[in-house]
Amino acid sequence: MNDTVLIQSMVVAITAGTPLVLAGTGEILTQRSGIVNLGVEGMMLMGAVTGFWATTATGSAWLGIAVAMLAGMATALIHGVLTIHLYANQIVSGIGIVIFGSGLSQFIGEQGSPPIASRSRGGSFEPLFRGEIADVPIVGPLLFSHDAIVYLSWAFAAASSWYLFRTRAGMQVRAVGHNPGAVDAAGIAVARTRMTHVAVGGAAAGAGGGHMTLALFNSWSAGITAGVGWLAVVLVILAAWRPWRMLFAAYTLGAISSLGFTFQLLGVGVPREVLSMLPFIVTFVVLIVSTATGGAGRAPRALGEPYIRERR
Amino acid sequence: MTASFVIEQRAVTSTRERTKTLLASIAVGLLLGSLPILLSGANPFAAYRETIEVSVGSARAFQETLRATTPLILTGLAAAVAFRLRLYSIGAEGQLYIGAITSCGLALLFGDGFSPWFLVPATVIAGAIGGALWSLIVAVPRAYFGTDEVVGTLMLNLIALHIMNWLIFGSVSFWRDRENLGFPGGKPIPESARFHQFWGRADIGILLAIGCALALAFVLRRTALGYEWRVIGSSERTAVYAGMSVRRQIITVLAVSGAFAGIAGATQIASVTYALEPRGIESGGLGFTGIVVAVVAGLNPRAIVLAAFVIAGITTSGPSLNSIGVSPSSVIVLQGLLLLSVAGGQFFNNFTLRRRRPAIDVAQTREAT
Repeated sequence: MNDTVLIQSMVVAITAGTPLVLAGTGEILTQRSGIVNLGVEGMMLMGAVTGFWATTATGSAWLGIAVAMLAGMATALIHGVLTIHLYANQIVSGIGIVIFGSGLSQFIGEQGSPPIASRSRGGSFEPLFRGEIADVPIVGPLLFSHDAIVYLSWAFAAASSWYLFRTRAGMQVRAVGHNPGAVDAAGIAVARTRMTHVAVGGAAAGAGGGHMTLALFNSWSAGITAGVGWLAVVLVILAAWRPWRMLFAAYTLGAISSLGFTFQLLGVGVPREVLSMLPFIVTFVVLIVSTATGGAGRAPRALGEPYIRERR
Repeated sequence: MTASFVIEQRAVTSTRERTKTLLASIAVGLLLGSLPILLSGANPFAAYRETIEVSVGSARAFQETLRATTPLILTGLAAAVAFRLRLYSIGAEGQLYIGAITSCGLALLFGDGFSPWFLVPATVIAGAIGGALWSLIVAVPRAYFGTDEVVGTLMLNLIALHIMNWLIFGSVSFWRDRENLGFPGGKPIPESARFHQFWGRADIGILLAIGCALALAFVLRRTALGYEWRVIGSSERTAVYAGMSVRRQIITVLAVSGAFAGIAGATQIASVTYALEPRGIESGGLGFTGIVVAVVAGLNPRAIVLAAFVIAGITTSGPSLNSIGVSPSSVIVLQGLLLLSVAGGQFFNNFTLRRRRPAIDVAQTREAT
């Protein structure tokens, strides 16, 4: 039962979708406060390399994830300072973060002896539950076969949703994203709110990158995220800035990305290049259709615009 | 007295002041960019000397740098023309691949027996059309439904990359060399489709790219079209009230942007790889580097020529930095830092920091009068 193609594919979809859930939910929090950070790919790369370094050096995967989050946050704060305090163009700065992050992560990966890039695992995340519970039909592999970070990503999405829509602080964040002028007049610190959420988004992206090197691949190579960070930015739009939908979107995309694995199990021959193109084509079509039909959900109204108090 | 500085908005900023800000930002970026060199334990000045020597130290080096400059001018123009209208197309990468595919396809289709006077312009135009059409896939939904062009072009980049890889590695396509049974590669284009090398290794590609830059500068400054683009860029609402068709201009500009990137793809075929070689065309991330070039040049077409030359010099010398113990990745770090510092430096075009004047005591002033 648990060996069926469907179940196996769904398990792979969840595993492959986890970095997307983490980075994408983080980007939702950032964008809800009115800042677009296109630098997710760069922040994930920084998290991936530093997390792997910390783990190979100490043997602790948890320490690795913590370092990955810090690195992602530090990278995000560059974007925060430039866009919030210097009113820099958010798109240009975000692209700068991607280039900077991919260069610096590659640079870090070449350091150390042996270089981080040629190290093998020194401790990684293993499935949290052992024994019989993971063998329960259907539920076992789907819910109880994952590593701790997968469960934390669910908790993160749930907590973000609750925070944004059920708490006073979350409402203020959404207000900052919609109308910072009014929020400022009401005495809420716009710049500080935005900076905090840029930082949280960076930490989440760093964790996503760390999950890739510490649970998915158990190794580091330059450019290991291979566009996942960019996908996270795209999914924010498709998820209409809602964490629950991000969970759904990420796993759907994870499922499409792992079709290669599924087809392999089924013995169907489809060129690899066509398969790896599929998630992007599906996302692109959904993006066009959802904007054409007005179903894309509404973006925070002040998204991407600097809040300049002097111009209020 | 508490905070002694206030941020003050500037009414107007002259071109001269903007240039000064830009140069200062570039200097900051270069300064920060030498940190990885220092961290590698190398002398930054030795690295700079190596860079200069490898990029312009000899006639041969200079010619190679010119060849590397060609695509960067074109992808820089692609980014600049769109960014000027606040259309943040980051699709040059994908448009370049598609332009390479179409121009290479045409060259292979015609084959030998054509004069270069016909074949070279034809393949360049094929590249331009390929890039422009690929750009339209996003431009039309952007103009009519407001689809996010950043995200749309991003997806198309990834799709284009996979198409190019599939043509060579995933199928026995028209572009693939069927005679070579070793590692999959592209079929070589006929000799007559290659760019003519007029000075050592320097070929007509650089003249083509500079021509494109001058043409864009002319359109922007001297034509009604350029005027409309300027108005739309500074205020879309004004353009609508003035009766301009913003939709049509969005589509036109994104198509022109795609055409420049497509020509860049054509130059890679006719000047560098002489076949559809995905690894060679993909390497270097010419599309994203074009954004760095455009932003560092302040989106000015003529400054883009200079910026592209400098960045091409830095990029091509990357691998040789290994010899003095500096990782080639520091060149990528430098590019990122340049983009970030120029983005941050814009602040000083719009605002100044001024020392707060001591508050005037009203009562005292009254007594005096």
